[in-house]
Amino acid sequence: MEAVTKERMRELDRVKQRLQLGGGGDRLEKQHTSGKLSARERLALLLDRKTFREAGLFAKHNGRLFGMDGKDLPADGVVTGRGHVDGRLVHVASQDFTVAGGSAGEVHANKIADTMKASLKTGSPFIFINDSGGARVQEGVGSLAGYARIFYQNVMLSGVVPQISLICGPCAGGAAYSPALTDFIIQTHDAQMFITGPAVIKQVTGEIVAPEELGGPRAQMNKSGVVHFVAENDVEAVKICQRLLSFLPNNNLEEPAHLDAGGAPRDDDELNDIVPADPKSGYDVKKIVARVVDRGDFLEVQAEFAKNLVVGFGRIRGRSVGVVANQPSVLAGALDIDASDKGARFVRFCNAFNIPLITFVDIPGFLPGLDQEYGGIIRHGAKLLFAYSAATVPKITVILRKAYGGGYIAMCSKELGADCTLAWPSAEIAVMGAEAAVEVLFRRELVPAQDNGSKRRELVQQFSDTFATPYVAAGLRLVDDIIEPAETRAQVAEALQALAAKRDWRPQKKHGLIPL
Amino acid sequence: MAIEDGVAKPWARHGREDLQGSHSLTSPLARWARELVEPPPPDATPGESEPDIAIPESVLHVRPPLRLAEDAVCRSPIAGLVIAVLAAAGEQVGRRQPVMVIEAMKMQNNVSPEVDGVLKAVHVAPGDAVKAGQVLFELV
Repeated sequence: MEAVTKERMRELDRVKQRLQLGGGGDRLEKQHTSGKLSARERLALLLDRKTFREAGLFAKHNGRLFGMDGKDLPADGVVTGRGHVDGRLVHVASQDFTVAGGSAGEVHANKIADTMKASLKTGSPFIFINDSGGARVQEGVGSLAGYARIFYQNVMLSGVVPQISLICGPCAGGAAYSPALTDFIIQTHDAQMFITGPAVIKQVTGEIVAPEELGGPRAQMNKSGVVHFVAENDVEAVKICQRLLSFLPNNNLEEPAHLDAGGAPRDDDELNDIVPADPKSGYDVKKIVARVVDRGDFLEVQAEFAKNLVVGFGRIRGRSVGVVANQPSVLAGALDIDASDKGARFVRFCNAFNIPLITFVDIPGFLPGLDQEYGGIIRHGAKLLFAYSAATVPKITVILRKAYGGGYIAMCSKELGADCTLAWPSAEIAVMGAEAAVEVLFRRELVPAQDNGSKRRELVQQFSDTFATPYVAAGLRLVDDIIEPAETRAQVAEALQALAAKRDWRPQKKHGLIPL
Repeated sequence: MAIEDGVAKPWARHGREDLQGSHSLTSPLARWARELVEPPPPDATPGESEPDIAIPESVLHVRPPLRLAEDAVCRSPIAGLVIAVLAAAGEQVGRRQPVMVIEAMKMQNNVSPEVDGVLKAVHVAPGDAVKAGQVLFELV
């Protein structure tokens, strides 16, 4: 090699090394002591070894005012490029808090938006690791326009490739709307997300609130339902992301990866004993889910939000499924506003990405109450009806116990397009509970003057003997078959196989009008 | 294509051995992987679980559970009838441990605190009708 060439190579090496250090030693040290990994370390954990190909390491910011001219901000504070997760192509953007606090200038934002365009062109998932102080104020409205470009691309990608956001540091103000437009948000214990911070809240309303109370994972998972997964730290956040990706296809034209089907399902007698004989007793529906999906491997989504409805991913004989299940041990398993929103969003995600839906039903109805009505349970509950009816993926419904009233319909009933409805012998499928029904039907006959309660008891018994079984519904063909609980895994697996090539069309339209 | 059986996959680490189902990779995934837009570089190690970076102890240390001010007060999630109180003031209770059973919508609903703690006071007794949002018990 000629001396000049050699020097050029050495120079390239030096420049790259300097830029890859980001904000440099001290700031990196500070990142670590505050319990966080650096932007590049997070990518190193997420991606298969030696697969990361960076684009835009040499990017320079275009700020000229307020002391920005000539300021060196390596990669403009965000590491972007492509790589592989378990051998599959993904595109990534990881904000570097050590460079100007990860603040988003115009070039920073354009790098992210360009990475998203590459995601769209190649049909590969987009993963955005957030750790940023917010807009780069020195760049003024240019920074704002940058955010808007990201949001626009979020919407272009929506429903085409899976989008996952990791919140590993601050994510405040407008910046929080990019994660909000993605499919899943994973937040770490120390991270915060909010639109207006504690300082502004204090100024405007006088309320004093700590940042973690306002936008920590407890607030954004349990209360707002904005976040889908909470991670203890950056390492766990990355692991959740990898596990989530394993259930998803790369884009809307592919199916999720198939794993080995394993042996033919056997009858599982344990399933016969989970639903208690006493209809007033609750139980944990996740025990049933765990025995139906492969190896009990169930990735629950929004585990701490609207716990009366359980949603998440599993596999049946190696194929991804989305599970939606009423949780009878919380709020009697009734559907309320939050549960309806949570369920509808999950059903739409599964439909967009070709993931069949398995619905387990044990629902006494929609939750009654003034706050529910004032909060718009009619509008929100309708979302679930809409999402299930619009879904064209295979839909399998298993009625475990109660299936009453509007709740029965909303939980993917036959009429909403379930391809296969199965009921356990414990199923009670009726328009309303026996006591309420008797009250409506025999209000006049049952005035206390004419009845001492025995007539009422007799009628209640008569109604529940007639309707608190799956046989009337099966007689009307609202249920395809009544099965022993032990057979559930085998029956669902067979139905999924039969429906693997399901085709279902909907009329051409710009888009449906889900009641938002 | 370098994807083979036996490579450590994130999903292979999940699930219980005593339940049904297999998680090993078979040909369909390999076929699907071949159709990648771009093959990974020859020296790549797909699904390699051990990263080549050192994770600082400060990142891995276990954080104390987050507490919100309102965690100390437990309110009824639903209107109904208290049918059992399972713990008394002064007892240690856990976030998944039922402290009270409320019958509502013809179901027995367990009520647990949002966080671990010691019961300071119980404000209702069996037989009481409660409204949604009514204070049931407080933690220290």
